[in-house]
Amino acid sequence: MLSPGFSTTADEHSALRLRVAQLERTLAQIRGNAPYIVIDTSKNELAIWWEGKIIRTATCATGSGKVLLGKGDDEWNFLTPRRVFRVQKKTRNPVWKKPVWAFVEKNEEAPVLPWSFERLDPNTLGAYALELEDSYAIHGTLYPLLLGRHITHGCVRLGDEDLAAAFEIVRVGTPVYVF
Amino acid sequence: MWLALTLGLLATMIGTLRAQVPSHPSIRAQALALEVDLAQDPDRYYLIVDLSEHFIDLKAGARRLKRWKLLDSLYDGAPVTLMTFKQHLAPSTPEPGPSRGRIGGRSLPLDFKGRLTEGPRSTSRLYFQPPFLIQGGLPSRPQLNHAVLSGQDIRSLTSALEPGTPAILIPASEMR
Repeated sequence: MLSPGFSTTADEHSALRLRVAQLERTLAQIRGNAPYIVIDTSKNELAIWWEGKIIRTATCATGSGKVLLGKGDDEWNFLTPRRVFRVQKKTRNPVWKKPVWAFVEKNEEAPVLPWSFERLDPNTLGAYALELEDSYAIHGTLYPLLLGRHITHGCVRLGDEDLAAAFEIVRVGTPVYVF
Repeated sequence: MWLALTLGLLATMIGTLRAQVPSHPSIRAQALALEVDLAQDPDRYYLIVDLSEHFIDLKAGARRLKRWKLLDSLYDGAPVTLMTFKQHLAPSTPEPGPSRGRIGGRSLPLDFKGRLTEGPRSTSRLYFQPPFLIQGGLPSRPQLNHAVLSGQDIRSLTSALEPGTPAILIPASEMR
């Protein structure tokens, strides 16, 4: 059945098809062919897309959503935010420079000096880190059994093999879509 | 039993035929033109709600991020429509913010007309303007323009949206 609004002549139909093809080309240009990462925080799933296809999926761990209260007005929300990040830096054997909340969480005094040796932890982040904006990162984990859970302080944790694959594929500037 | 099996088979065949009905080129051109506009901002998420092909795509900068399969839909409004996500009601979905109090960190449960409602008791609902509802399971008032996703998929979709997120609604084509 043809609804009244759709009655088109052969010429109009042909013009519409050309218009559709033109718009599809425009979208393809906007989209490009570069790889990108998609993280579904509700399912703790990470997917790497390249040239219109998912080339790798992985189970990850994302933010717990818990709120930590510190002294005075200090407050930290351990959420992996819904936004578009871009890979800022790729690091092998990353060293975690512990922020204040890491000490508050353990009920310890944070070192006064920001470059204090006590802040440095070379073991926690795994073999690689894909550093994103605002101190977020995709990195490894000491607790692979907790992958698939909402357990982190906002970063995204991956298993060793998936992390190595992601590190190989993505470049500085690769978009990371989190939702 | 044979009758039930035959009916089931027929329903599957009809479903398959429905899924293969392509959008009319004029509908497709309208939808693509709207998408070209939305895709100019690479950091903005938007939805394609395609009732013709029975899916919802989450996209940004023309890149597909996720596809969810629609279980059912009803729509008798205007052809291709640009909608805006208003709010979601999901009593069982944990959200950030102070957990004390009945409302917690959620927005107030208001219906399309802005009236305070009790909210859904078991399924999440996503409200769009012009009025369109996406929810897990059938809506309590089936005459509403709506689309239905599985319970898990609605949670996933909900985490992708914030008030103001645009969505392009593509109606089912009547072309055969």
